Amino acid sequence: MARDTSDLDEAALLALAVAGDHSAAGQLVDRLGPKLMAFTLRMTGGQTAEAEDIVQEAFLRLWRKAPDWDADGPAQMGTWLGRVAANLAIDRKRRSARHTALDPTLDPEDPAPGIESRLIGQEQRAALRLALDALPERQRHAVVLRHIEGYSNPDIAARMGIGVEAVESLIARGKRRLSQVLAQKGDLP
Amino acid sequence: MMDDRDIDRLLAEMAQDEAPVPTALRTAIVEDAVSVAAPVGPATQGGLLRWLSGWGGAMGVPVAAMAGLWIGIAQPSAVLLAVPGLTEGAAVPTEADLVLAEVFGDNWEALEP
Repeated sequence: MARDTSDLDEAALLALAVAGDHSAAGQLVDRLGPKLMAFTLRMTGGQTAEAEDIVQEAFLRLWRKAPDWDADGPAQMGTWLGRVAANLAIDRKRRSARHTALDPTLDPEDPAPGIESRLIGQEQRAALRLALDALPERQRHAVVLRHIEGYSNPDIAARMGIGVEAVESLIARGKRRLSQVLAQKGDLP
Repeated sequence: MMDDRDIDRLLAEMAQDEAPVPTALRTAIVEDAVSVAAPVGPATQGGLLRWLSGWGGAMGVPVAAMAGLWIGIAQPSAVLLAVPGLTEGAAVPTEADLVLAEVFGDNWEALEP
């Protein structure tokens, strides 16, 4: 008979999961996965395959971390996963920039406004989500980490390997772009 | 028209967003957890490892020291023979020599006719 794991806290589920308990592992994925998936989709601009890879890798690191997990420590498991996923998303971006021989300090031009036409008839938040996905990657990372995840600018700068002023600039440009897109949507019939 | 605060509010609300984890991904993640699980060896092996990593391991050093001391005192010739070069230039005392030394002192050789 399967063990009832629904009342266990996350640390207990983690311990059971890495002891080979499928049910506990599944329970933990069900609790923490959906939020992590949404966050990772934000970071990857809606790239589902990439987001799934990152989510799987983040959980794999959690399983490996299990023996050292401090249940009484300050880190919430969901927050810890989010930080791992953020780092993975940023690292992937760095690697792909190297692969395509682009200067990683350069930010690509803002996309053509054609994408905004797809926003007709969508709710405000859905529109914002689409606009966010359409932002240049570095602007999107900075805006998501600052305004959705609540990271400090110095923390974002450290994770992205850039200066605090560059982070401020990316956020300002990203939000200005979001504002423009949403304003255009508001002007549409 | 939305202002900057509206955008900040909408972005903050997105922190609560959830997206379904596809079934195949969920399965893969759970399989990863099981594969990371420490392999369980035979009970005796596990018991030995636990013993060595606990009091048994802690006791190993003094036990080894006592064993070395006993060998050095009781079987010095065995040590000298086992270490090449240690006895070069020196006579290797036999067990009989040592017994005689204990009975008659270091100058027992002088008693020999």
